[in-house]
Amino acid sequence: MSSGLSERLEAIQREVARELERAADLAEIEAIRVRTLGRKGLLTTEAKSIGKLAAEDRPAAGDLINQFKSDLESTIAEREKALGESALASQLEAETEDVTLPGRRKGLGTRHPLTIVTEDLLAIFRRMGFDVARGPEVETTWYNFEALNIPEGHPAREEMDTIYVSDELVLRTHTSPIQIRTMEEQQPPVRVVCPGRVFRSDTPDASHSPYFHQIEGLWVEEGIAMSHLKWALTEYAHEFFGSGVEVRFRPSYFPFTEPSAELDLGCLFCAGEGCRVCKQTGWLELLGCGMVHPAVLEGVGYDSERYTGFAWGIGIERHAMLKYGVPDIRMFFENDLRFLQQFVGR
Amino acid sequence: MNVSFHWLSRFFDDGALDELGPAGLAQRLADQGLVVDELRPAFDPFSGVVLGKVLDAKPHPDADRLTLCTVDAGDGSRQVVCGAPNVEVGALYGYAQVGANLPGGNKIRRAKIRGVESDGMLCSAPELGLDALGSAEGIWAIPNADEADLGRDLRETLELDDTILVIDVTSNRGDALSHLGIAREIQWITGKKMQLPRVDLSEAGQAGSEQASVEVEDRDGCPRYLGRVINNVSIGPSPGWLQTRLLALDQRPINNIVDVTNYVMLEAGQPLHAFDLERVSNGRIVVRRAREGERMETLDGQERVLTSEMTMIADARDVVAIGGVMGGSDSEVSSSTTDVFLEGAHFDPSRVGRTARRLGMVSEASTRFSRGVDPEITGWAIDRAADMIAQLAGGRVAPGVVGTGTDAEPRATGDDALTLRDQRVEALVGYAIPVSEIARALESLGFGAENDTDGALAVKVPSWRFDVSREVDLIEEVARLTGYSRIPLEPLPAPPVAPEPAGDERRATRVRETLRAAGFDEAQTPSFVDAATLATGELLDNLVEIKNPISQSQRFLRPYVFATLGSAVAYNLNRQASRVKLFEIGHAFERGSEPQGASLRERRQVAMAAAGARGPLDWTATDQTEYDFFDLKGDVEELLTQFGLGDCVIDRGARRFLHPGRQAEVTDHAGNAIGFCGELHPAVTASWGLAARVFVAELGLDALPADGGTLSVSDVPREPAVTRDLALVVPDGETAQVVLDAVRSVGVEDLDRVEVFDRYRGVQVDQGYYSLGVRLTFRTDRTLTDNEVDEQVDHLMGHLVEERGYRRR
Repeated sequence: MSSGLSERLEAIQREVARELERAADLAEIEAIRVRTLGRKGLLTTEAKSIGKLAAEDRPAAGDLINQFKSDLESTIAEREKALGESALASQLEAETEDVTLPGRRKGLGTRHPLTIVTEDLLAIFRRMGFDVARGPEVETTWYNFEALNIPEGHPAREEMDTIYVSDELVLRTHTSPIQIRTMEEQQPPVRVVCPGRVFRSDTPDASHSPYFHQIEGLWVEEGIAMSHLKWALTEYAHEFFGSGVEVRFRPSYFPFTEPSAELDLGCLFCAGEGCRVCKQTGWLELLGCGMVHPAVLEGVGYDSERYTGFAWGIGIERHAMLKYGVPDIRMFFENDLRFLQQFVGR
Repeated sequence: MNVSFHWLSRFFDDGALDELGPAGLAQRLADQGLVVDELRPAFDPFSGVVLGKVLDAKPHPDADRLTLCTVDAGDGSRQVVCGAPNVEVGALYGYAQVGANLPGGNKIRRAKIRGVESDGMLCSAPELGLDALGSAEGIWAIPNADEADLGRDLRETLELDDTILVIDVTSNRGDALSHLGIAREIQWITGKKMQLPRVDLSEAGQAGSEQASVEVEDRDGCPRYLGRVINNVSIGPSPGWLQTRLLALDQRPINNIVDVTNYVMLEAGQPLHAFDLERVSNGRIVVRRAREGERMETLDGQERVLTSEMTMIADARDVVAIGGVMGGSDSEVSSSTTDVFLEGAHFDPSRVGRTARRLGMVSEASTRFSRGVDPEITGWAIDRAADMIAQLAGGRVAPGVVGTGTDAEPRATGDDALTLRDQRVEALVGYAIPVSEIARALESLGFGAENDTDGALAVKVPSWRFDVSREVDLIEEVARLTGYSRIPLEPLPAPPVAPEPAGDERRATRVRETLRAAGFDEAQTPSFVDAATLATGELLDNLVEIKNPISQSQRFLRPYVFATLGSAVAYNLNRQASRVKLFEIGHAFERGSEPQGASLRERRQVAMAAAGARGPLDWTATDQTEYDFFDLKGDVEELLTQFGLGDCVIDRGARRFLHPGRQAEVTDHAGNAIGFCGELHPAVTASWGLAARVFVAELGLDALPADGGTLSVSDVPREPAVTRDLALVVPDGETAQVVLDAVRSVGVEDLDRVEVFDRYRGVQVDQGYYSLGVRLTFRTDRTLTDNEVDEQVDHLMGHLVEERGYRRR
């Protein structure tokens, strides 16, 4: 074997190890690779020198060089890998964010509380089988009054505090005209709830607004009695206010229903003990209801002997005030963002 | 209607209501439909005050203003020092004994006043909590008090220990506006019959018909008019018990004649009126329609102008009363009155209602007449009042009733019986009520119920029940008396298919979801606008005016929803909100041009309004930018895209309430108007008191498709796309839309998409031009080479240069 080859190779190996130790980045490692393993590298030079050796020494020298070459390649690759990992580690370290800083947001909008309550109520009534219908806010006096058994001069008509657009047109005082329109368009069974804005000539205060919202409902079919009314409205009250709440029905008067009733809710604030909200009665007036007056059915051409039905009307604002503890009805129409945004996520 | 528990008890045998008590009675009445809103003591509590008589009064030795009174309280005399200037020997007073507790916490002790021992106190009316009955300046001599009651507790003699029930009588129940009416309802509760007070009228002297005459010309307005003459009355205060009873029911005592008419009205529901007979010219009463424009002064001192729609009471010369509403001041009973003409009439309910509303004078009388007064109680009521006047004012009742309609039935009730079928009761209430119970319930209220054929009942309606005219009215009576709590709960028959939300509801829900996600808060704003805040003529052009607005600032219906939504933006900006984004779904109104159906147009709209910062405070932003037109347009486009209207045309508009250069009309690809968006004109925001820029959009809800239609998916492209960015220099007048349309219209073979990535105006572009950066995306079913794409771009540019005069920058 040629004298000195293995010494030279070991010297190269030691030199490479030293250089790799000093190398700070991948570029320097690449330079080492080129200098030792490249086409004009040290090992290539040694390999070329094999030709000068005696023929019998050549295979051993070639093996030795290949052995060193392969060792050097893996040494360099190892170092390269280690350096790459640490470079990534320091890059990631440098990219660290303060994750407690706020995210970039668009700011979610909110549903109006009256919408929330309306949709909740409509969902309850849909489950019972009611359809939803809407109608115009400006109504004819015929739909708003006459068709509902409230002729001119009727005390109830005077008590309604109607806002007039002309002698024949009013801002509807209830959404009941939609019930008439629905009955005119179809034959029983009629099952419909009518949400919408209604109007009264009231001076605004904490519990009055000249515009507010109602859901009125109507179910007309053969064989419908007050016992169905009691079931439906008890179900709704339990679904909306909770199954533990007490309800009672007591007689009342509306021109378009007979018998008529008011539904009272056991006071939500004092559990019937008597408090300021329920005026010490233990009960909250919730809604008016009753069996549809035969004159109303006859007015739309229904046979009032064959068909009976019940109807009711509820105030959305009142429900929202009770459910969310809103102290003043005017807050719903001021649209103060500090009020509206409390309903985020609801 | 306020009623006295004590008074109600008088309609029944002694003690019949004791077991129930006021609270129990209130509960039972409410169950029957007469809701008691309030139960309150008739008077403030006090104790230890008895009826005392002043036997002697002499000046205090050491004080000019004080009097030493000798008072008899039924058990010997005591000495009381009194500071009042009006002590009368022989008069009867409320005497507060030592130990008495007066309203307001005043306790009476034995005291020495200026050296003289005082054994209690004589009371003024206010000291007893009876402010309306006497002044605080002097002690209160109790009128017509009975010496037999000396020493008796004053609360007993004046019947002050009473409870008032404030009953909410529904408008159909005119019959319940009296103690008699409520007592009738109680008959069902107690199962006992009530009794009207007995009237033993003694008549004397000259016949009534010789002193007065009644002529009714307006029989429709006044089917019954009865009168009685009472001679030789002496006008004065009513006795204490009567005054306190009226006071407890919120009626101010006036004199012994007027008080009696009010008393009988509260007792039986029949309004009465007393005239000074001497001041009724010729004693002649004429009931007629008023002449148009006729004038009179009513008791409240107001001059009233009458119309021919109104029923009047006139004497030989003038109008003396408005029938059923109010009397006139000329013929009013005064302290010098000696002869009284007492009127008890039945007026037409709707006539009285209209007259009272027209004159704006709703009175106790008009309320009762307009709801219907029992025509058959009139005779009893004037006899009762005449009897009381004779007793309390020392008068003499002239023989005979003067008037008409004495025998005639003013209303044909009760003749024809109504049929009531028990199975109909069951059909309506939902459970079977025995016929015997139905009959018993109706009879307790004064209905006549007899068995008809087929087990039905023939029911006679009493004269006071104006509200009962058909079978269902009777069913309501039965249902409320037997109790709603007895009605069982019966589940509704389930429909075959539970209904899906209708298109309208789905649309509204989708709008809400989209706009919430875009950061808009939902609002509910008033439907009324103030014309003063709609600065431009365009908004005013077709406003719908309200006939009876709540206030001048709410005279019109909103022509657009943004008109009121914008005010809510202003409200919040004025309260330091840095970012306001609101939307509302609501109705807007405008006058129509065609008749019927179209005298008014009503639309359901979705409106958006935004102002202030673009988004929440963002620490990463280099500059916090304000919401602007393109934010609005983007929000509108996202909403339209949600409804499959991403291909809408949004191009310049010309609405005068919007910024002339920053507004656009939204039209669908078929050319149908959908809405508009833009910055509000500064003149409009200024009228809301705002300096900020406000951006609004309004779309017709009905213009948004309820359903997305069908979708057929196309294959995902497999070949890579090639993009080229072009900076086109185009004349200032060319909108981006025009440029994009021009690019698309060339019809370049593989051009797939054209998008704007930049716009530049400035020194690098000639005056009169601007640069629009357009990104072209080429794509086809194979991989395109750069050369192929470059050729297509050259082809495109050739056309744009040639036909449009554009250049590449």
